[in-house]
Order: sequence, then structure tokens, then C-alpha cells
Amino acid sequence: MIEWLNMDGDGIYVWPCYVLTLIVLIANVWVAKLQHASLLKRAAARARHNDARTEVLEEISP
Amino acid sequence: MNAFMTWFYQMSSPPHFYRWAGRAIPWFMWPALILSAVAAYLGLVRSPEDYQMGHTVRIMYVHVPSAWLSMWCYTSMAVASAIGWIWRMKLAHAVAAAIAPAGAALTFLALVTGAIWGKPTWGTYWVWDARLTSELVLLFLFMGVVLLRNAFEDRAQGDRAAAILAIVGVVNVPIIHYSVNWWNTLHQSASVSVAGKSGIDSSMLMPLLLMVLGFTLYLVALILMRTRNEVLLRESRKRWVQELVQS
Repeated sequence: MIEWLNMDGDGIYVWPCYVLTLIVLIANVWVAKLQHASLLKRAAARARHNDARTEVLEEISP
Repeated sequence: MNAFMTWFYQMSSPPHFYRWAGRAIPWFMWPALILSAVAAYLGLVRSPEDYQMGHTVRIMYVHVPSAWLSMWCYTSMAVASAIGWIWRMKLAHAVAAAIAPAGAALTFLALVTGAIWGKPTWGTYWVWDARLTSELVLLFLFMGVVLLRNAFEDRAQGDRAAAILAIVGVVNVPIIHYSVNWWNTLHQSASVSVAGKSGIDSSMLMPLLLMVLGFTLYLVALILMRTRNEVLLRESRKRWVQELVQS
């Protein structure tokens, strides 16, 4: 196992490339998911605000 | 052709696209994960080391897909920008906006993994070689497109400005591809050929192609995810979004 990880001394070049690739690929998806959740939350807040506004307008309208 | 055009017109509707993409993402992401995992196993465990480069050749399995797909991303972004600009299709601008950061991430990966591979192979992390420099220009172009789009308060103006930069910058893609043929570069010429015989053994070619396929499916899933976000951002005041969050 240690021998395989070491790769005759080339492991110090190979592993950082794979780890960095994994981090970048996971981070891209994670950021997109977080952004999606945040956009939905913002849209829900706007929808609630619009509903409340409509109710007030209905109450005050003759 | 008619079926394709019908599908194309349906896709240009943001609510239709949003729902379709939500269903399609797992169909791209799961095969991408499986293919990439199999390719990584074959590349790191099963494939042989190179007689000259030793085990560092295994960097190829992440470096080459990143580099190829960075160019694919730029070309796709330019095509989407052109469609958005010519036919004023908002969804096309959303796709272009979604591709830019994903393309920048892949270009960054191609540059960094290439630099790490360069140290044991060439004795240096970086040289101002035509291939490396044109790939660095590609990163600046992606960043430029992102920054230019966000520099305008009016989204439509930002989309148009970013589209022009994306279309003009596409000239860099053939420069990257042919740089190793046009100039005397330290970077090696292409080992994999679509038309002719590839210069690498099938034991290395197979994991490489699997990884390219895995990265491509991942990228499609990521672009769909990011485009959905762009659609939500651009359509947040529309009735269908309000109904979506209330349902």
C-alpha cells in the first residue's frame, strides 16, 4: 500500500493533482447547490412579501 | 428535424427548462461518478507506468480531460452567447453565464496539474510556451466574461457585452489546439487522435477516454445545475417562480 502511494517517489506529484481535481469538482457542485437553496429561499421570501401585500391591499380597498 | 425543433423551442422556455433540467441532472451526475471512479481505478492501479515519465504519467488522466473540456466549455459558451446575441434568447445567455465559471475551474485544473506534471518531466513548473500561455489566456478570457457580465447593472447589457467577449475570444481555442504544431513548444504534440491511430497504448487510452466521458457527463450536470440557478435569478419576479416556491 505504502509502495503504491509512494509510486517510486512520483506520488508527491501524482496525488496532489488527484486531490486538487477532486476538491475543485466537489466544490463546484457544492457551491451550485448552496446557491440554488439560497435563490429558492429568496424567492419564497419575495412570494410571502407579495402575498402579505395583496392581503393588505384587499383589506384597505373599498 | 421537426421533433428536434419542437424540443429546442420547448427548451427556450425557462420554466420548462428548469423542470426538465431538474429531472435530467441525476441521469448525468451518477454515470459521471461511476465512470470517473472506474477510470481513476484503472488509471491509478491497473494502467502501466510510462518508460520515460514513470508514474507521473498518471497525472494525464486528470490533466488531459480538464484541458480538452476547458476548450469545449469555451466553444460551447461562445455558441450559446452567439445564439443569445443573434436571436435574443435569454436562456442562451443563462447557459453562457453558467458555463463560464465551470470552464474557468477546468482551465485552472488543467494549468495547475500541467504545472505539477511539468516539474518532474521538464524540470520546471512553468515556461512561457505557446500551449501553456494560450491556455492561461483562456483562463483570463473566462474570468473576463464573468467579470464583464457582472460589471453592468442592466443584465441585458451585461449579457451582450459578455457575449461579444466570448465570441471574439473563441479565436484562442484553435490557437491552443494547434499551438503544438504551429510553434516549437516544450509541450508535447497530441498523442490521441480522433481520425488516425493514437500514439498511446490501449491500456492507457481506455482509462483516459473513460475519464473524458466521466468529466463530460459531470460537466453537463454542473452546467444544468448552474443554468437552473441563473434561470431562478433572472426570473425571480415571474409568477411561475412564485408558484414553484409556494407549492
